[in-house]
Amino acid sequence: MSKHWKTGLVTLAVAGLLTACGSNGNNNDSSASPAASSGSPAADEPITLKFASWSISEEATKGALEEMANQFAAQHPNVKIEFVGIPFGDIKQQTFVMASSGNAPDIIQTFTASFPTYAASDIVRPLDDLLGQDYINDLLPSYKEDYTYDGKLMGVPWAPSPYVLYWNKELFKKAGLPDRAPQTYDEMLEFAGKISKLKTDSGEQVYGLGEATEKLPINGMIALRNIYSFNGSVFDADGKVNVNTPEVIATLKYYQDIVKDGLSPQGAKLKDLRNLFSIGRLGMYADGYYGRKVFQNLSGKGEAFDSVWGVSLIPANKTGESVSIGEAHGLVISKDSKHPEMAAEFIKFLTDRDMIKLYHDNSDVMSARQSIGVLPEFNATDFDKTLNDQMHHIKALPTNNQGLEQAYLEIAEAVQKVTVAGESPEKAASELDAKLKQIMK
Amino acid sequence: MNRSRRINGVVSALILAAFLLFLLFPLYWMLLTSFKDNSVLFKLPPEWWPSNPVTSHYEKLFADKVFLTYYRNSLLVSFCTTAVTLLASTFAGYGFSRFQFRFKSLAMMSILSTQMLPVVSLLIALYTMYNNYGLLNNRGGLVIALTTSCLPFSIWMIKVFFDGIPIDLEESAKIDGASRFGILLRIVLPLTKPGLFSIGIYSFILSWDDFLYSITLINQDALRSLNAGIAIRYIGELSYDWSSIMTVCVTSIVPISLLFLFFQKYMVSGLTAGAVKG
Amino acid sequence: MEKAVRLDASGTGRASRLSEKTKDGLFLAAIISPALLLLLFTIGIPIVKSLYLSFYDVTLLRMKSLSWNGFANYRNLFADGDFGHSVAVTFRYVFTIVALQFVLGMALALILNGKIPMRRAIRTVVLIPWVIPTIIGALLWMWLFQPQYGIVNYVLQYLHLIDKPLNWLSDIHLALWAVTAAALWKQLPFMVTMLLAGMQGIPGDMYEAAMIDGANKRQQFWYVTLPMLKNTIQTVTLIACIENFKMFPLFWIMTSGGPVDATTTLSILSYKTAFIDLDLGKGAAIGAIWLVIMLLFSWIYNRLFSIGEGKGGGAH
Repeated sequence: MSKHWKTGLVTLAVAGLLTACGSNGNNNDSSASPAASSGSPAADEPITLKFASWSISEEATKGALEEMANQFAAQHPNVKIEFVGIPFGDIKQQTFVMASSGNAPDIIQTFTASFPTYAASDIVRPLDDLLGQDYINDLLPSYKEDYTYDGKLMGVPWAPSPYVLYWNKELFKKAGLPDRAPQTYDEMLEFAGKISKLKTDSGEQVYGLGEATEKLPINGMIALRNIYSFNGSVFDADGKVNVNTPEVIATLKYYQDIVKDGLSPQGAKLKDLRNLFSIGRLGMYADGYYGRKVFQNLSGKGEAFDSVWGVSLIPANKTGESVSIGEAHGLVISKDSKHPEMAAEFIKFLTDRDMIKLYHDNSDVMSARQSIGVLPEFNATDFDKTLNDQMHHIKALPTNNQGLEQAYLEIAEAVQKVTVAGESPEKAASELDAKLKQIMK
Repeated sequence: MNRSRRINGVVSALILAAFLLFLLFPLYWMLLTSFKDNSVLFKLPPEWWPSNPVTSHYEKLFADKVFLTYYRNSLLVSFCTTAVTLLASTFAGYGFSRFQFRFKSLAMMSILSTQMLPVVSLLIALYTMYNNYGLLNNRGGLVIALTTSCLPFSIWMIKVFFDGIPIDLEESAKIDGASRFGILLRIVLPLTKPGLFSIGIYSFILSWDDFLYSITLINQDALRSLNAGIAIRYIGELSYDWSSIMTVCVTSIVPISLLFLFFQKYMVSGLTAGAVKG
Repeated sequence: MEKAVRLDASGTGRASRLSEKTKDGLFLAAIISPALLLLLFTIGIPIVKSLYLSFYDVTLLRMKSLSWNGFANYRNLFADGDFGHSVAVTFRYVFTIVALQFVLGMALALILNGKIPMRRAIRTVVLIPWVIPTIIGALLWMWLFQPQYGIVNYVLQYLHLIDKPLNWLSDIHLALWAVTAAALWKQLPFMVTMLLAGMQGIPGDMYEAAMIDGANKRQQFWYVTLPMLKNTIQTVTLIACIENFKMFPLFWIMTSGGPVDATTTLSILSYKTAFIDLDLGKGAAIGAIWLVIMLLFSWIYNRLFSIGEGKGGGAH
């Protein structure tokens, strides 16, 4: 009898649990809401904009973005911004999965290395008509080009981040180097060599110059900065893919040497380089605007650490002047969006003077809009000035192409082949050439 | 003889110590890291015991109330999944154990084969279906998906278990006029308790481990589960904030470890019984 | 369920041979169908859809436009060397992790099955890594293996086992081993517990009988313990094989398949094919061949074990 009772109780409990799961989870209303016609946004029509982003979930940027959404909602009482937080590493795959059933968020955050895939796909829409020519012409040319596909602007460079050189003043001093950043690659390598001879107090190795070589598309994109500096390119004079060139081979040789000679750690991500730089075990590396806040936290020294490092233009190499590339968090509007005008309005709002200022104060973000970049608040510190200066020494990335992200990954793999697998730069370049010719049709 | 036995004892004690070091040291290191300030975290030689333990990482974590929501969601989803898995797999496992029918081994093989592909390669099809049935952003939907990932092995394990229970009892009950369900519920199930424990624990851990299902099927912060929440906050774009990462790892395993310690008596005996029979 | 009971009860009155059989059938259907329906719904249909996709030319860029291309996806797959390489990496990983897990798990289970102090406490604490989610395990091991300030390199250098820090996750020869270590840490406890459970189910008189026959400890292990554990071993090792075959998060977080292709397993390759090379059709084809490999593998596995059964049974 008591057994029977127990069975009954268990069944009841199971049923109870199930209903609890079901009833609490009934939150699918927004996607099921009747399709509103995509006319011009009426003032009082209630609108929900879904915004898929990783920055809205990361600790460093969460607060600033919530503030921006609140301010937008204050100006547009009928609009609700619904954040869809997706981890950085999963956002592309997840948003494409959502789009496969016509369920994509209205606005999606992306970054330059992933952008080509969005641009070439049928899940996002061109923005020329939504943003207007004035807005588009205001964008810095290289950023505009990086976010254009087939002659149309397909995304907005929201938080641009040119790669600049970070250098550790204390390590420079300890190595007996001048109190300035290197001006050329040769000098940079010479400095790096001296720094690499240093040891930490407990005898651990210090690296002179960090390059990211982990197998990720973004690291292939970063390698283009070096290829450009060696006066190379992915394309030949006729615009055909050609990486089996002396310049690309020289770049691969550069990667191979700095790893072999112990100047750079092997197989690092940018994240690892930031960590090493923060703890005084890396003399120089190139990064975007993200550095300062990360260093403050990881060094354990807070703002006092700001005086330890300096920032400068990427040293000049074969081209005779500083060449960098411009990464940017971008925003795209999905084709499924019921309210593209309002989405564009929100993007304009986010890239406006006030919001970029807010973002700048929070995370050192700059603006890709020329009219905003020149404003005094974005040129207040040396850090600002260097970032802004570098933004004018940027070479656009290869024209967006549906194979570009894959090409970036192949470039990263070629870098790994020479740094990790000991393959010769010549062989790696010719293998890469064959692959890219196949991919970038 | 006596001496060789003593040597044996010493050797096995050494081996055991090596095992314990391998299994437990990472946990100690995780715990230790979570109490270190970033200024001492990267020091070499490392501090084996924090000279100046800080709780700031924990304070920061718990200031973010949303983590409590993640815990609750994860627990709720894992418990529901366990319950549904237990119910469905017990019935099916009993059927597979006690009845002979055509294509039985084919059916069993097909059931097992559903577990052979990784979730990533099914994401698009799965999402499309969930979208069509309005099951997205619904913890019930997540429970169903997780249940199916627990079911195949659970059915198999419980079938093996039923196979080991003599059929005589059921036959005599049948002669006494008991219904088939009555036999299953009142006579067979009580004998299977240890087996149920083992598949219950198995499904609980499997659903607690899930990451891809929950990140794909749920994208509202209020419904998110713990692993997705950890990924979204701490495996981010900018840096590896190791002490914060280790802090959230510690807090995520403490409740479930306590739960296990609490159930340990049942667990070991449950797993014991569940695995052997057959 | 309730309905089925009633059906069953009403049937008892006119119990003919046929209706008894029908009732069995109905009962069977009633108890098996919930599980089957659930499986069909969330896994069955996606698998079929994915197989279907593998015969089409479909890219992530335009998911709605499908065009039939016969076996072209399969041909492409075999044409480039990546697929074969990934199969080899996957088998190497699966074989290593399952073998290690099994041998070490057996050793630890034997020790824990003996008379040792604090046996129960030890049995419980060794379970903890099992409850740790894989993504957390991956992060933890990345922290331990960190080349510049990770504790593993520090300890090994301190003990003079290595003279300079190793790049665990970015060395072409070490990366797969490093991931294997993390996997082993997480999976060993389950293996140990299941084997230990199996050992405790072996009746003591079997050992007594063996001892009377003059078997020493080693012989007892080979002729009593191992044959009696056959079913347990079959279950846990097959589960371990399948779970590791499809392991994704550990590789994705720890190495993303690198360095070069040293840790590109089939699951990483199919992810890369679908979401970076944007070729959904080819990605689906990988899944289809994968399924065939797994079915074949399980079939052979079962055959091997039934052969073993005859041998094990003959031992006593």
